[in-house]
Amino acid sequence: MKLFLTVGSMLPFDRLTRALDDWAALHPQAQVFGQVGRGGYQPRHFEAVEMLTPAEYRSRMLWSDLVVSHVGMGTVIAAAELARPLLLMAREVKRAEVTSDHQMATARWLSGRPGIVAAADEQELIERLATVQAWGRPDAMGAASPRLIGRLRELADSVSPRTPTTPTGGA
Amino acid sequence: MTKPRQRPIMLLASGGGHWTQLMRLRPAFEGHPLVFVGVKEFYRDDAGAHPFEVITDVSRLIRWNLPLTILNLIQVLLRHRPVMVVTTGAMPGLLALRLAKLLVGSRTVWIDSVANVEEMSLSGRKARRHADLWLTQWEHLARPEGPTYLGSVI
Repeated sequence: MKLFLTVGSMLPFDRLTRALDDWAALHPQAQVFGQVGRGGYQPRHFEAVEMLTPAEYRSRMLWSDLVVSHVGMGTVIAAAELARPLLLMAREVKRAEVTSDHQMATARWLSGRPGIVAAADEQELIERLATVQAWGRPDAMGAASPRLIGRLRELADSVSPRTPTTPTGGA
Repeated sequence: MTKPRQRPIMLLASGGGHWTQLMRLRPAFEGHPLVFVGVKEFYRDDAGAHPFEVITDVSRLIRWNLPLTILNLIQVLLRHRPVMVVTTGAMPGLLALRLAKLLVGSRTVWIDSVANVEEMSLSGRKARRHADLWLTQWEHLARPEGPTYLGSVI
């Protein structure tokens, strides 16, 4: 199994990185790579970097069979686009991991969708890793809502004429 | 005398999911002159042939960056004089809308992140007074007096 851990490009998320490090120590056959943020816990049982460029991030996700992540929408959207199952754990304000508890609300919204599992804590995260084969893959996310795009296009057209080199066909 | 360059539409967001969501709105702006503004040089690839500018990121966790972010935004806004500014947050987006209104009179659009399921983000709530179009991506958060719901980026 190939796991890609990402905690976002800004803050470390030691609770998640450490949990996966402990798991990796017990599962030497698994390959793990992490983007773990700056200045936090450094895993001892898998290779990790502070930050990946979007291109590196994408190819790491393609390399992986499973993405383990904080509840970041960049990761959720990328995992859906690349059809990678996703194991999430939310950052919590009470542990000073983030400044609002929106990740917990997002996790509740996402959990149970095909290919997406949200673990409440480290213990559940480790338990869930054993069942990943049964999750299926996330639904590919469609394009943005036509109503939203339409309204933005209308507003854009009202303030700025299109240049004549416009590719035809629009979206 | 050369013809003045057409004022572009500015697409601006901080990193991670904010940027990813902004990129999903690109089809709305096809055919218009655009300028992209991000908080990391590595987002330049997403701008394609359009101009790209980097500004200093700021958030509640790195609030000491605020003066630098404001300075960067003023420079970028005066350089490009966008006719419209569209942002998916977070704090740099809020600052951009305020400054764009003040300095160059842009039309402004705030699209709150889809991650804000239970309430608008703090920046999103503050953006209300500075956004001509003030959007949430959650129908249950929409109110007659705003924010407006027109669907989501996913």
